[in-house]
Amino acid sequence: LLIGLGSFLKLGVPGQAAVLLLGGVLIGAGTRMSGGCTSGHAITGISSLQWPSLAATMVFFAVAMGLSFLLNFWRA
Amino acid sequence: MRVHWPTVFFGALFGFIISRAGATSFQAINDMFLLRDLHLYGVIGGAIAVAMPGLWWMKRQKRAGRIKRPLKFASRRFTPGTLPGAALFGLGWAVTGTCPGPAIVQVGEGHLIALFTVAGIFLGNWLYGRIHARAFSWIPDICG
Repeated sequence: LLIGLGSFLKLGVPGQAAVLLLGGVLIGAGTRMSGGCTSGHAITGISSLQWPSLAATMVFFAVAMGLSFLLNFWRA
Repeated sequence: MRVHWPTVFFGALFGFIISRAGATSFQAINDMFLLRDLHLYGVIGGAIAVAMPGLWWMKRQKRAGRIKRPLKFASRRFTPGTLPGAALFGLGWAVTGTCPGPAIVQVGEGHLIALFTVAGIFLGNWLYGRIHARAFSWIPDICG
C-alpha cells in the first residue's frame, strides 16, 4: 500500500486517503484549467511540437520537484 | 453500445506498460522529482521519442486506422490557465505520486486506496468547471 505522500509521512489509512483525495482534486482542477496532464501535455503535446504544452510541462515538473524537495527537507 | 476493440487493446497495453515501467509507484515518482532515480525521465523521453515520428507520420498519411479523412490535430493555445493549471497539477502530482493515467492503473493493480485519487480527480475536474463558469470569461483549452 505504498502510494501517496500519506504512506511516506506514516499516516494511517484514513490520513492517506485524505491526502490522496486532496491531491486528486488538485490534479483534476489543474488538468482542466491547463488543458492537459502528463500524457496530454508532456507526451502528446511535446511530440507534436505544441509550445504551450512544453511550457506547461516545464511548469508542472518545476512545481512538483520544488514541492518534493521542500517536503523531503522538512521530513529530514 | 459497440465496443471499439483497438481502443480496448491500446488502453490495456498503456496500462500494462505504465505498470511495468514503475510509474504507478509513489516511491519511483518521488525519486524522479528528487533526482535520485532517473529511469522515469527515460520512460517519458522514450514515449516522446516514439510518439514524435509516429504523430508526424500520421499527419503525413492523412489517415489513421479506419479514419480515412485528413486528421486534424488541434493546436494548443496558450490560455490564462495554461501555466497556473500546470502549477496546480504539479502540486497534486507531487503529493499523490500519480497523474490521471497511473491513478487508474493503480486501482487495476489492486491498490483500492487509489480510488480516492480517482474520486479526487473527478471531483476537482467538476469543481473547476463550476468555478470557471462563475469566475473566468476565457475559454479553456481542450484537454487531450
